Amino acid sequence: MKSNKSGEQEAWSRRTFLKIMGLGSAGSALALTGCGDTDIVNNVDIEVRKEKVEPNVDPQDFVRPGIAIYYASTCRQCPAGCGIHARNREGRVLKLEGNPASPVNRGRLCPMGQAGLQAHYNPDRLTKPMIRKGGKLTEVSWAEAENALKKVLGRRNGKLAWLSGAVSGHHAALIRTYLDVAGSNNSFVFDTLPPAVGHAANEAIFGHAMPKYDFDKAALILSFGADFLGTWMSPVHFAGEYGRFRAAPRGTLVQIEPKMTLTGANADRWIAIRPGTEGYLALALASLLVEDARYADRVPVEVLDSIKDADIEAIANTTGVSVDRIHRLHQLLTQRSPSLVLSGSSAEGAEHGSETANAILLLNVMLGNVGKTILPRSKQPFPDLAPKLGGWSELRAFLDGLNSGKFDTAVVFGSNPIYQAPKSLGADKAFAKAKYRVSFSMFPDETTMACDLVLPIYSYLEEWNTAMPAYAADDGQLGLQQPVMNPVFGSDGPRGFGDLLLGVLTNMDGRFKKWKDYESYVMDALFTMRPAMVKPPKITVPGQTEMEAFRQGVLSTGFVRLKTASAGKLTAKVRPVQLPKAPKEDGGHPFHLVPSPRLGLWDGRHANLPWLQELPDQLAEVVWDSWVEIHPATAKKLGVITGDVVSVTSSAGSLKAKVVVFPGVQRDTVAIPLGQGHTEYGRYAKGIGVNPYHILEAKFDRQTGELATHATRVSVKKVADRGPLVTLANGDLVLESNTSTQAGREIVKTVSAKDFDRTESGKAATRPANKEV
Amino acid sequence: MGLKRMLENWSDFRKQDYYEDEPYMWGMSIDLNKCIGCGACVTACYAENNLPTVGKEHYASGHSMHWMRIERYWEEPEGEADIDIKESEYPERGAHYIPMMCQQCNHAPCEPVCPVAATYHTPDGLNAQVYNRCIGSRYCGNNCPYKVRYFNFFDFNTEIPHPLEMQLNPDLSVRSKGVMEKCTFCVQRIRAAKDAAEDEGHRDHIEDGSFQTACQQSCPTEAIVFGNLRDEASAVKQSWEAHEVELNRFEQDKSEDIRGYRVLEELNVEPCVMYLDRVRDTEA
Repeated sequence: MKSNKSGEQEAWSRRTFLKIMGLGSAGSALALTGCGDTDIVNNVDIEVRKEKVEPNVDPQDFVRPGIAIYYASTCRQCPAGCGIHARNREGRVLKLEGNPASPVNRGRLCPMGQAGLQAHYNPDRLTKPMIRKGGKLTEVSWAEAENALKKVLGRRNGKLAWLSGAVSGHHAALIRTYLDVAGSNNSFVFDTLPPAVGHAANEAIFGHAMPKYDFDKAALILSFGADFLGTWMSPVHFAGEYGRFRAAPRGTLVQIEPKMTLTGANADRWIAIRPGTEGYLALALASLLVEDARYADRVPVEVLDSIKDADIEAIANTTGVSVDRIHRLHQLLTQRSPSLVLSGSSAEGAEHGSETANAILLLNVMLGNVGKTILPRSKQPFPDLAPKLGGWSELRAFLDGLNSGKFDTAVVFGSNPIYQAPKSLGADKAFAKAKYRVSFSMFPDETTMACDLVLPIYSYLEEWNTAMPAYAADDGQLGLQQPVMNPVFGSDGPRGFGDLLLGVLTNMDGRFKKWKDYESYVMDALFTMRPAMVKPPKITVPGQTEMEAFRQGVLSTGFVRLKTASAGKLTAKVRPVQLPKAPKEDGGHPFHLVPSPRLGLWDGRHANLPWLQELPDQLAEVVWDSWVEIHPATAKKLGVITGDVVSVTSSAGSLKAKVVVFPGVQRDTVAIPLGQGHTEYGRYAKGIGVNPYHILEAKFDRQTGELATHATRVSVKKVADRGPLVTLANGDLVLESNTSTQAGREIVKTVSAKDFDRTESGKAATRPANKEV
Repeated sequence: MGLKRMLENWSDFRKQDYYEDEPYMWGMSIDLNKCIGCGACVTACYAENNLPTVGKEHYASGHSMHWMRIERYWEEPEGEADIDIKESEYPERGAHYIPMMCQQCNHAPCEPVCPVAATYHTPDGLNAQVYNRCIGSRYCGNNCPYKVRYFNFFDFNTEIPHPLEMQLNPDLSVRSKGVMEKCTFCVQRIRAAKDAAEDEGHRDHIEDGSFQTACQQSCPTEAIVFGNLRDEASAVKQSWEAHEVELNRFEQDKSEDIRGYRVLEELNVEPCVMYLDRVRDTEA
């Protein structure tokens, strides 16, 4: 310790200041490495016993051996954009925690957020740029790669097409700026899980793609396949809302879907429905509601005409939900008010997905939920920074352009269409038609390995950036991302995406010379945006400039709030329900296929993280594998038991996987989880399981052109006898009953909501004090 | 000490509340009404406690090292009055989730069977495991009614490919082959908080909420509450009181419909983890 600097000693004792700070806040970013060494990889490697012990009498600024420092940043494991605090000790990030101040996640994180460390430290990360030479990707020097990059991207090219994964903040702004300078209009965003159909339906009805939901106020949530606890836009945020929704007086959750999701597993009543028929059930409920003038008065006549006289019995047949159940749902909707009716991906994944979403959202209007549990949003002032979540229609446009020769150069960043898209879309063939393909990627994924120029980029824990949450808990929140340690692979390894693209831009347009790197670009942009911020953060230390004080402030809080116009009133513009005739049965392919995403592997992007591979599926409890979920009654008919291998065949392809006999799936439906089936993507992902997206038929929602993910019909045939299936039950060969029963031991006890409300209303004993660490 | 003398003075050794003057007794409360079974706690535990992933083959052989696991049941326990759904071919009331980890029993069945006293009870109520004393007899794991002790059949942590090992937490050791391990209530965080409190002059008091266990910290629904059961003001103590669960009982004297129970409490193992009943709206 420097004993002569008493002022510094005082600063250290101010713990809150110490604990959350910006990397490089004292001197350069490199000052953070432990033991005065900049190469952490080779010198402080305790686990392989190569540590060089150096005296620490005079440590670097902001490094106190044995004391953890927390950096505020933003999680990028999914588009939700939760605030994080990254725990750093001796120059390494060790743990990610939620940022308690962030309204998105309020200090909490999901498994994927926790596993961000394994993406950052992944042994299969790309470390050297690669160029295709003689048909083979070959590692090259950065100088050579940068030359190639300049040659391809550093000129005006109207035939250049850019495909990103879900993107927001200054990455989105920079990509847009680049494409403007390069004279290309071909910017596409493709991500598999954001509910593009639902957003379009919201836009049509409420005038905003993503209104605000108030779970806490709802007495009843009726969800048509919206897996808000698992994979729907902002899982941690909605889980927090759910926790409050479930406090006494407790709200009731009814989930209607063909395959039980994590949300369905927590429902008070889970209702199995045939995929693609959710709209008819909504129509039946609407037609029962219009009998009461209170509800009928809320919608115009032409809409009323479209919903009255629905044949409840026929609908019960179509959906597989009994007449009695439909009447009881109607009763529940009239008794519990205000309610909230949600439409999710399993309802929207049909060719009539938009019509279905419209019919479902109509219930909200009839029930008077608009303005109570569905709230308006105000527009934030920077549309360029808004989250762009994209969808399948954009991927189709991208592939069409490549097929027709409209595009000759393809750039891919944060998206992996060759793995994700159904084979029937022909992504690989379209991709092969491009004259030149560039990938910015952390990992050797399927699309990256099909490119001609591969640029390894920083993880989100090494990169500067900003990000706007996909579902903003508070309007106008902009998350800041900062490096929470030095780059894992040193200065020779991956580089920042922002730095690379800014470098290209600087060569094309002199105006960009004013920023020496992406960090200064982001910081300068934020500093300029200050007047548009609500209370711009500031930490003042004597002698600092205003810019430095702002910088320190924004790095400590991890996000800023932008001023927004007042939200105004939410008005709903409803359209008549126009559902097609109920679908016919398909004798050759008697089953519906549900490709089910889950919190963990997500759409497959986290399959290379061993923590998530080893986190058992929340429902089937399987690890490191793919499987086919089949209802017990159907399994009996097919003569299969858990562990048997079946082939699942659609008109677009076939795949093989083991059966899990699973009660939470509709009888005429088989569900296959997403996430596996990688042919590249490193040692933890490659060669495991199958990807159900690959056998989806090329069917699309008629209004939005999105892929109808739940519209594929399949046949199922047993091909081999039982083999081992690894589950949480310590690898027992699980028969359907093995891990399902408590055998009367009362391990999980249950009480009724009525008793719960009676005994616990007014009690807040279970709520912990949510304090900063 | 001879066996005779030990038996004669048995009550002295087995006195209830032997450590009753200790300022700390760590306990937990898990609300199954809020728990959604997402697994955030599980992954947070892997990250905090240097738990290795073992891969498919080892997992199949029961070598997994998840100190915390989410158990999922379909069937209702016997006697539950919800006849409405008994007939259904679907699990219409959803799944039954319960996070299961070491219950830090005060009468721990694992402790007396250890031939080398590698597992013992700390004065603050933790069921501690001394890794470098453990000889791997696995008697403790055998005797645990919750099956929450995990044995290192292999040196998983030496096989971590670079640079993944850079994530390992230096606050606790990396275990090697032949050693039993289990949930510690994040003892490294407890010790750090104790040290910090002592530095500030509080030997007997850590402010409630000044630190959290990794699972509690990550839980998206705030279902987990952790703290000092000897601190009347702590959230966990208040939760135990509100739900009428007391230590030193194998059967609780509860008012009707009050939630709060300890799993397998009837075994008289004195777990320090209280669960609150899952809730379902039977009218829906």
